Amino acid sequence: MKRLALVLCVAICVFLCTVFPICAEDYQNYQEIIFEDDAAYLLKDFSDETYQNYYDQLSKRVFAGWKLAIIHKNSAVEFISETKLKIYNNGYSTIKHDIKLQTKTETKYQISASGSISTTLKGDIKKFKGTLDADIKASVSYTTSTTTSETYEFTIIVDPKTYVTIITRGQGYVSNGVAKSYFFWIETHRGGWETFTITTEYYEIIKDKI
Amino acid sequence: MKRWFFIVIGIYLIIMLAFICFHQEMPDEVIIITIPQTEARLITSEAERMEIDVFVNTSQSFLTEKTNITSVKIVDSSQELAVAIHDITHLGPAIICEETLEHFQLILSFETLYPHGVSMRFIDATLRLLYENQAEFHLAIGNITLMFADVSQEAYLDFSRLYGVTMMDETKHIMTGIHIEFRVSALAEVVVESIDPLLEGVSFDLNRAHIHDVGYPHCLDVSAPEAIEAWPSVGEITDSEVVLIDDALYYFPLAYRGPWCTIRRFPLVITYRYLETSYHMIIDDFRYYQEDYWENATYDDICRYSYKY
Repeated sequence: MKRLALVLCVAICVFLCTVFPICAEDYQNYQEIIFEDDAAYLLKDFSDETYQNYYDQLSKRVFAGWKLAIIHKNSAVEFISETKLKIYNNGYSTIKHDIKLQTKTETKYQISASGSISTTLKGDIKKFKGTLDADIKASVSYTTSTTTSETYEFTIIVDPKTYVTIITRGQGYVSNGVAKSYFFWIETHRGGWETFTITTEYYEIIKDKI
Repeated sequence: MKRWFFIVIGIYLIIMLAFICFHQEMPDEVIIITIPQTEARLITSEAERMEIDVFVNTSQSFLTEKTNITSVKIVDSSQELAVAIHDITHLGPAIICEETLEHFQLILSFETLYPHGVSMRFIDATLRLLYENQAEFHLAIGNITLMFADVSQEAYLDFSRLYGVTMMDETKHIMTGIHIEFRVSALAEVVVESIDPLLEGVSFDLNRAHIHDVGYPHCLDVSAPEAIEAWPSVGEITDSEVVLIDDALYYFPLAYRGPWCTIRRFPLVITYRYLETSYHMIIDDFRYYQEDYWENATYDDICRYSYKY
């Protein structure tokens, strides 16, 4: 009987002291991205006219390789990320939670592309395919540091009928533009590219009644 | 027979050429850089880890091999604490003062010793690493406070919102204070007597605590007139108390005894009074913001060590 009680106690402890890992997310899913410069905008907001205007700037053909035009270079942004975590205590007793927050490189340095420009995964890092990645890196200050991940744990007590939310806001910069690639003076690819670099992330914890 | 002889010689030459081409010359000097920080941690169990960032000029050296380390201690002029190296992780390249170095994290654990209930404040602390080959390093890690206790809260007081407010001082973030919304579950008044971030040279100025309905932004625009109210205090501060109002968003400005320093992570030990009895509410060390702080480090911020083979 004693042994059974002990096993039950251990099982309850394991159940109560759970670890909640928080994973990386895509900047396309952020709740809000606000540019410091009102005239700046994201790749997804490029109009057909914008594309055409900048493609026209790249009309001079080259033997081989990429030609790129920068529309916004390191434009400062502020963002509100998605809710990182929401945990509920629906029970009748207090619960202690260990929350594990992880910041990964793929969150800090993000890219996206449109048209026939494509991206590829090298390890955990997303890159533009071909030599375009190096060309963009040389043109805008992007990926100066490639720290892989940082983890930190936070313990919190959650009262009954309460939930805990962790949200992040942050600052960073965005560079975007269009590019064309040529092979034997023939255009092979064209499209838009964008880099999103997070410089600072601010954390906020909210506890509320269900 | 002759053919076999030439094949063997040929293979040998190819291997030697490949070795010459791809072999990386080991540097004869290993440079280690640390950036001392002001930080406080609430160590809630032996399983908790603490990370120390070190930057090395090579990705392969005996200094960053866990198995070569025989002893690790956090030491200052008056106290020391034996810790264990749980792991050493290589995080990739990092640029510090225009120099590309390899970023390693020494992950310390407190399995060797867990002095429950003890609070240790290490001033100008060093991490003393002793290696199998008798090499010894004293790496400056800054002002580190370790409090070995669990999070706690009494029934009378809880918080419902917490975040930090910062401002930019040239290229560095400086924390100006915290926003905290309390939830009071008491019939009589609850009075906050002190809030201790456990940081060396940094405290909260309760004299200037105030309620801000909307809340300051996470990064203050220093040119905005309202930012003056949120600025941190400087120098010695006098004790004060705050009578709490339920569900109000309080702003507690920080007070820096010396020059402003970068702080990002610290616990809160809130001492409050209810019906003439004092209670403590301990909130685990919360990371108020995260940034690659080494990218903005100056030559004055870094400590450089070298080991010659």
